[in-house]
Amino acid sequence: MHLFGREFVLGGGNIIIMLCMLALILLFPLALLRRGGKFIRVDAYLAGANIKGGTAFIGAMQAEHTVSMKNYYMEEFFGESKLFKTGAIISLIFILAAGVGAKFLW
Amino acid sequence: MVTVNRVLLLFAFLVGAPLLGGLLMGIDRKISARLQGRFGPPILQPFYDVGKLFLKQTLVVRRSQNMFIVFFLVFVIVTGAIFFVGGDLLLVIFALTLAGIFFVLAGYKSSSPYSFIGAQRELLQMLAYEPMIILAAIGMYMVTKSFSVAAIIAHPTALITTLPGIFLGFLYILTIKFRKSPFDLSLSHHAHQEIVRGIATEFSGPTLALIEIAHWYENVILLGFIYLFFANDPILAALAAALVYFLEIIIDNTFARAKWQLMVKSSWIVTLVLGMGNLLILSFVR
Repeated sequence: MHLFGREFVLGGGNIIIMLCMLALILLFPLALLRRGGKFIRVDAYLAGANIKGGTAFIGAMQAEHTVSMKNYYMEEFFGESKLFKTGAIISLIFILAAGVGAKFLW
Repeated sequence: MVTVNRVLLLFAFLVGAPLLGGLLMGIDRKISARLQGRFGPPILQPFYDVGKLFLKQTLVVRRSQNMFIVFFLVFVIVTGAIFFVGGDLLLVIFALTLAGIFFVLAGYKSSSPYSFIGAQRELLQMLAYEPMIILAAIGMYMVTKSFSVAAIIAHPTALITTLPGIFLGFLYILTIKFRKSPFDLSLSHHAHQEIVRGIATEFSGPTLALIEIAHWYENVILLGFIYLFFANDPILAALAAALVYFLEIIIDNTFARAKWQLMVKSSWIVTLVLGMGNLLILSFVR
C-alpha cells in the first residue's frame, strides 16, 4: 500500500503468521463442540447459599436476594446528552454543506 | 545460523518465560510481604500453588468456559513467540489483544455476576491501555524505521533517549497490564479490595493454573517491551526491566484501588500528553 510516498507492506512471513492465528480462531467453535470430559457442574458463586437454580441466594441475616446484572453506560464519556449535542452539530454541518454543494452544482 | 538462533530463542522463551515469570511473582509476593511487615511465602511459592492447582478437580459453571482459557494461554504464548524471535511489533500487539479478548470472553462465559463485573472492567482496562501500546510501537517505528523487534534491538542508540515520553506513558499503563494496585480493577493477584476476584471467580483447579501461567508469560513479554527501550546495552536493559518491576511492586503497595473513571481518563490524558507529545516533538525534530 502506498501512503504519503512511503511503502507499507506486511512482510510475507507476517502474513503467514497472521493466517495461522486466524485459522486458530476459526478452530475455536470446534473446541466448543467437544462433549464429555471430567467436569463437575456447579452453580455460579453468589454471596450466600444458592436457591432457585442459581437465580437467587440466601445471604446474611437469612435474607433472600435475587440476582440482577447491570451494565456500565459510561454517561460521562459518550452519554446520550453528549452524543445528541455533537451529533446534532455534526449533522447540521453536513446538511448545510450538502445544501451549499447542491447550490453550486445546479 | 540465524534460523538456529531463532529456534533457540523460541525454545528459551517457551521454557524460560514461565520459570522467570513464576520466580518474579514469588519475588513480588516476598517484597510485598516485607513492605507490609509480614515474613511472606517462600520465593518458589507460585510454583507450589500452580502444582497443587493441577492436582485439583475441575469445577465449571458452563461446560465450554475452560476452552476460552486454553485459547488465552495459547495466544499469549504465540505473542511471546513472535516477540522473542524478533517478529513484527504490530503482530505482537494484535496477538496480545486477541489473547486479552479471549480472557474477557471467558469471564462472560462463566456466567457469574462477579466474573461479569470482572470482564466488563477488563474491557475498560483494554480501552485505557491499548492506545498507549500502539503509540509505543509507532514511536519505535519512527526512530528505527522498522516494526521488527530484531531491527529495534539492533538499533545503535538507546530508544529511551528519543522516546522518554513514550517510556513514561508505557510505565503508566504497565500498572494496568501487570494488574497492580491503583488499576487492578478486573482481577488482582493480591487480596486487596477485589470483588470476589473478578474474571477468575468461577475458574478453579487446572484452569486457574493455566490463567496463572498465562500471566507469567504475559509479565515476561511486558518486561521485554521495557527491554526494547534500552536494547543497545543488554545489561542495562535487564537492570532497567528489573527496576521497573520493583517500581511496580512499590506502586502496588502504596496506592489504593482507583475507580475505573479515573483509570480511563488519566491513562488517556497520559497517552495524549506524553505519548502524542513525544511523537509530535520527534516528527518536528527530524
